[in-house]
Formats: sequence, C-alpha cells, structure tokens
Amino acid sequence: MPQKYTLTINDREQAVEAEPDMPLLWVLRDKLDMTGTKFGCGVGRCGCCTVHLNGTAVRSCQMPVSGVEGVAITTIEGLSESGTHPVQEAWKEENTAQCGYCQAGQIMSATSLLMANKKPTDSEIDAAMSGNLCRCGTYKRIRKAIVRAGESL
Amino acid sequence: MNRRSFLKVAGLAGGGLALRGFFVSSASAEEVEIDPANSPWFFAELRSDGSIHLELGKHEMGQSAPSGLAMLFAEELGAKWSSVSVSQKSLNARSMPFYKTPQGGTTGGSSSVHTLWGPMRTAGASVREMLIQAASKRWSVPVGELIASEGKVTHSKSGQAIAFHELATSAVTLPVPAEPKLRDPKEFKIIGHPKPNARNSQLSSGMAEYGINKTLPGMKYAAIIRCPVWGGSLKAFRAEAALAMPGVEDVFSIDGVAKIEDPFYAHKPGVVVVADSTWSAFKARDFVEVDWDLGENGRANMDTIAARVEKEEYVKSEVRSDYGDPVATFASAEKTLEVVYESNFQAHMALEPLNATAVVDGDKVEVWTSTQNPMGGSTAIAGALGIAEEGITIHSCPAGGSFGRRANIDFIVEAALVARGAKHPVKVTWSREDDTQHDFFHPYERSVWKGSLDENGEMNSIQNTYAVTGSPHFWWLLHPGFLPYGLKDQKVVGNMLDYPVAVGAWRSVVEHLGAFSEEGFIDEMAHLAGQDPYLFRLEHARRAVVSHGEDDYWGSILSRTVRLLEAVGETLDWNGVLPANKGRGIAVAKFGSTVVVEVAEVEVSAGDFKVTKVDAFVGAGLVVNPQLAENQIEGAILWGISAIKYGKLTFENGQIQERNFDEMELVRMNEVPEMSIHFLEDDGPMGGMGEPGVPALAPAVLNAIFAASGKRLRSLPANREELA
Repeated sequence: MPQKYTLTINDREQAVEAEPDMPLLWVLRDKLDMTGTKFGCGVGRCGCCTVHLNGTAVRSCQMPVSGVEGVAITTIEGLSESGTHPVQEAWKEENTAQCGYCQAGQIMSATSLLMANKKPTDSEIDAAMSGNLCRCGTYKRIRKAIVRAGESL
Repeated sequence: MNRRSFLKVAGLAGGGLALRGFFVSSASAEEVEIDPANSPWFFAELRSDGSIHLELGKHEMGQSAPSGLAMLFAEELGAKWSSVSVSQKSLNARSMPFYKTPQGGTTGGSSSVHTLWGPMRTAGASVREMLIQAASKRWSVPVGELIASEGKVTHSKSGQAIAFHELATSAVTLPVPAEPKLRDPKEFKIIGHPKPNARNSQLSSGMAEYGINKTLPGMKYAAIIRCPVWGGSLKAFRAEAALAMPGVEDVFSIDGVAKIEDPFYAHKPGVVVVADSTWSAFKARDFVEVDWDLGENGRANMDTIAARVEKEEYVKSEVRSDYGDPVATFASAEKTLEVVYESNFQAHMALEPLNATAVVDGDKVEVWTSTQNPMGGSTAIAGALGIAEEGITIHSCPAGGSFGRRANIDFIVEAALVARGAKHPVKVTWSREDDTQHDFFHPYERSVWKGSLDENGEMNSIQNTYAVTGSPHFWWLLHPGFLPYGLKDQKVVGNMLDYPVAVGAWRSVVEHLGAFSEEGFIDEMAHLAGQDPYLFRLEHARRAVVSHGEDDYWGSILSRTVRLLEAVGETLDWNGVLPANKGRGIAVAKFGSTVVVEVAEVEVSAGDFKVTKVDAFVGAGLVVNPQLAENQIEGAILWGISAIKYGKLTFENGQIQERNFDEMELVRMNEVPEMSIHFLEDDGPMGGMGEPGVPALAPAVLNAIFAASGKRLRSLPANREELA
C-alpha cells in the first residue's frame, strides 16, 4: 500500500506517496522528477545514486523512503541551482567529465569529503571515492578537481 | 518523398536565425529553400544572443566527437569557441537526407572527426563566406577587405564590425559556395588547442539529458523479462501474481525479431511489465512465471566453444594475409615458437543502463534514447511494427557511456513494441542485471601463433590462425594482424565460430582481440631471441620501413610506428632498474590510422598484480583537441586495465552468469596508475582517439608481468592464480 511521506530535500519539504520500500533514488527520479541523481546498479556498488543525508554521502538506491523522513536530504540539484558550486567549478576547470553520467554521484561524494576535510590526502580521497565507479575512466581528473576544489573552499 | 526543405526566415528583433522546424514569428517571413543534405544552414543556427548551435548527426557518448566536429566548423567560421553549443539532430523523414550523408550514419569506429575533417571545415568556411558576402553587400565594400573572426565580420578600413547573427537572415539566402577557401592551419586558434568539451558545464552539473531521464505526460514505466538464452523462444507466462502487485497495470508479451540474421538488428522475445514507476515494474517482474524454450544454446558453455574449435567447425574463414612461404621457413628455422592465447567474453557495462522511451500513435512512432545507429533503429522499428519509416522519429540523447553497445537496435525496437502494446507513452528501463545479461559481448577468441627466427635472431616467419565467435554478418570480425615488423613470410587466417551467446562491438573491437595475442607473441619471440623486447620491436619496425618505403599509406603507418618507438627510448628510462617484484612491458597496436605504443609498469605479488604506471605514445597525425584526446587515451588505459584484471565472465547454460557489480568488478579510484600521454604529431593520415588507447594495454601489462615474475600469462582476463 502506498504511504504518504514528507521529505526534506534541498531545504524544501516535499510530500510524496510511495510504497514504503521504494528506494529514495526512485522517489527522486520517478515521483519528484529530480533526475540529477542517477540509477546505475541498484545494489549500492556504483555510486551513481549518491545523495547526502545530513551532509553524509549515501547510496540512495539502498535507502527505503520510509527511513528518510526527518533527515536533511541533499541532491545534486541542491548543491547549486546554477551548477556553480565550487566543486562543480573545479570539475569544469579540470575538464573532468566524459559522458558525465557518474559525475553527479562523484560530485556528491567529493563534496561530502571536502565539507569534512578541505585537504584530503591521496588515501583519504581513495577511501572516500572508491565507491564511485567511472566507466569512462576519469578518476585522475576527479582527484585533481577534488584537490582544486579544496583549495578554493 | 518530399525532399525539399523550406526554412522560414523571420526578421527576429536583434537579428539571428532560428532554424528549428521552420520558425515563424509575427514578423513577415521569407521562405528559403535549403537542402538538408548539402546546406550548412540545416544544422547550424546563429542565435540572436550571439551563440552558435550545431545540431549534428553524430552521437555523444562521452567520446566528445560532436565537440570535435564543432571545433572544425567554428575554426573555419571564425566563431568564439565559448559561444558554441552542440546537440544531436533528431532523425525523421525531414532529416533523413542529412543522415544519409557522412554527417549521419552510425557513430563509431573512432571515425567521426577524421572522416568529417574536410566536410565540417568546408561547411564552416562556406558559412563564413556567405556572411562576408552579406556584409560586403550591406557596407558596399569589397569582400577581400573583410575578415570573419571572434564571432564578427570586421572591416578594419572603416572600423565597422557586425556580429554573425545579425547577418544571418541575409546570408541564408545566398547560394552555398561549393569550394570555399579553408584557413591556413598555421593560423588555427581552436583546432589543435586544448579546449573544453562544448557541453562541459552541463556535464559538471549532472544535468545532461540522458535518455534515462526522459519523461512524457501520461508516461508509464516498463521492464522486460527477456529470453535468457540467445535464440530461445517464449512458450507461456503467468502474470496473476505480478498483476496484483502495487503499481502494476499490464503484463503482455512481445515477439523477438522474426528471424535472427545480423545480431545488430535482432531483439529478443520478452514478457513486459507495465507499471506506474520503474521500481514497481522491476519488483513485479520477479513475480511473473515464464516458460522458455531455451533452444540448443541453453546447454552451451565454454566446452561447447572448445569442441567447435577442436573440430574446426567454422561458419566462415578468410585468409587475411599470405606472403612468401611461412610454413617452409618455419620448418627449416633455427629457433621456433608456438603459443596459444585466449581472449574471453567481456561486458560493456556503461553506467547508464540501456533504456528507451517511446510513444506510438497509429503509424507514427517517436522514440527518445541514446543510439549510435538511429537509422538502423528506424528501419528496425518499421520492420517490427509493419509501418513506413516516414512516420518514425528518433531523438538521440547523449549517452551515459556506450562503448559500442548502443550501436545495436534491440532496445529501440523493444520500446516501440512496448508502447504499442501499452497504448501509452512508455519508458523501458533496463536494470543493471538486464544490461549485463543481455549484452552483446566482446567475442571469445583463441589465437595460435607460430614464429621462427633466423640465424641472426631476427623474425623470419609468422603464422597466426585464430577462431573467434561471431556472425557471418560481421564483415569486420576476421581481422588481419598489425605486424609492422617487415615479415616476408607471413600468413594470418581468421576462422569464425558460431556464437552461442550474443556478441557485438566492444570498445576497440577486433583490434583489441588482435593486439592482445600479437604483442604477447612478439614479446615471446624477443625473449626467444634473447633480445630486449623494446629494441627487438624497434629494429624490426625500422627494417619494415627500409624494405617497404614510406610513400604510401602503409609506409606512413610504419614510419609513424618507428617514430613512436624511438620516442619511448628518448622519453623513458626503459632500462631503469625496478624493484624485484616490478616489471616493465611494452606493446604496439593500431586502430584505424592511430598507432599507439604503451609501456606499463606492473607490481606482481602472490596471486595478484597492480598496474602502477602507463606511458602511452600516440600517433594520429594532427590532434584536434589535445585535452579531450588525452582524456580519451587515459580513459582507454583504465578500460584496458579493467578488462585484463577484472573482466572475467562465466559462461554456463547458455548464459553469462555475472549480473551486477557485486559479481563483477571494475577499476576504481584507488587503482589508477600514474599515466602520461605523449602525442607525436606528423603529417600522415589523421586517426581517431576514442578506441586506440585500448588494444596495447593488455599485452603491455602481461609483458610487464613476465618481466617482473618470469611467468607468461596468455589469457584475457589474466589468470591471476598463475601468479600464486
């Protein structure tokens, strides 16, 4: 049976109706038409669906909607309406993206890291980012963009 | 068929030219006839805000080819690169003549930029000349006194300048010059310079319009249970349980292609679940009971293939090269070698799972998807639905990766069949499991190499016979060797095995298969000769240039190869000492006209290896965009590492068993090697960038593993247990 939920997304309250086990990923994409958060695998192994819950990067495909009321959810759309968050600017400056599909998730993971640590070491970057796959292989520039963004934050 | 297209040109406030669908404003409109197949105005729009938008026929899949093409146009036109945007033109009856030119067709083979080098420059130059002509008329000054640059036509004598878009409505009425003057490459400001992808901002915001994001009013969501085995058929299904699940609206079957011929034009039979959300469709799918007749492929596994190889059961064979008498030379040679290499099935695993959204209204069909082959999709829909192509429109969205998978038309046809059955607009989304299970895999190949050395330790004969899985429709599959080594006695024979699981084109296609075994074998020959593997290749490549000469196409490729090999010695410390568990390996490969030499450093441990450094030396003639080209080569190296280290797939009971990233791994951030890409430009034939970085990686890595450990691995992916 679909239930009613009130979600706090990007500082706004959103009312949705969904099955309790519907992952936040699909609530965002299919119920709220917020398609910045991407579907890649559905088993929490690719990172395309990364959002923040209270600033921490999580895989929204693993978060049933029934568990995320009352938590501050941030999606890629919430970083910046104009796509000009300092992390996104660093991404542009480093010509990071190729197909771009994984990059919203990469940016969300990176932003969560940088909000806690502006000068991550290489192994800290590895630890924070190794859950985000990039099939095009842009990792080298993702790392450079993270370092660059950290310098500007 | 009405081939004439009319462009309604309206006098927009502030100038500018709106092209899409015959813009008509409240101002009086003049009709201008343009030929979609021959007029740059069909795809280039000079907007009233000064920006330039190109609607091209090539597909964006992360390889940035549309940006490359736009650079060629913008350079010749004299536009500012920052003012240019690109998208893909929809395929429909009106644009079909455009799609039938080289600007359209299939996107692939790393060929877009170099095949359209001439046409895109000519198109940009023709627009430049028409704008200059229009300004000349407006100012009554000679054409020779005008220049087009930075988005303006300028008359320095009088100090007058006018933005391109303000001349557009006059320029479009002029005849398109057939042979406009092209700019001198010495004056290039865009071509040859590092420039951002035209869609850079969009890509960093995560907001690019992938097919999977498409929504339409009243749209339903569908998931399909497809026959798990190639060639199988649907017997029956029971949908009661699924229909009772939340959000489910309908369950019905769709037929597969009537007869499987070319796999690129085949789709599978399936049972469709239509629901009010993707999640509901995916969940309900598990509750449909389906009876399949799996057919004879239902029992297939690697032993099936091995038996066909053993019995030489080939569906096609071709002698790809045959010089001299390698059999006799081998028989009488001082030292000989015979080795067998095997490449296994590999998956594409683009991160955007396949998807397509379709709406069907009688004999009109509209599809939104990402496709390398919209024309193929259109023809296939017409065949499957029994309608004329005139009514079909295909909108191709930028892809979240493709790597060859989206050249097949299966997911396009399915969506049209589903939309017809659902009687609503429908988005068909593939799960990751679907995308893997129903891939068209990189083929299996078993390659036998026999080589001999003369008394000087030089190679004097090579024989290669291989067996590869595929369809006789794959005219490209039986590959020649590259072998830039000047062999006078050489024979390459390709044999095709029937394919028990679907195979297709996977990034770098046959060159990946060919280079893998070839450059492992060459390395083994070097060691047989007791020589350094780098110098062995260099000396043979030099010998090839001496005996063949440099004046024809093949000669230019050979001399390019020598220059790249020489650059290795000049750039790297090839003989530098490495720690005991590390080794350095080299491999040479060619894709189209692009030659790539890769040197890999690998650290070997018990049962494992790690690629720590890769240097790639790339010869592709002129490099249109060094930044984006470097991006492609680096990405290709990582693609190659994933394949040699992690790409293992298990083929049993007619199915690839692995389904998702909990069963298959890919290279991640923590395993990226140090990478340096060295481009060596020359005046030779221009090559592409998307695929050429892949083929040399795997053999370079295996050759490095040998250098580190003394163990020669001969399979793709590498069998790490052999390192234990």
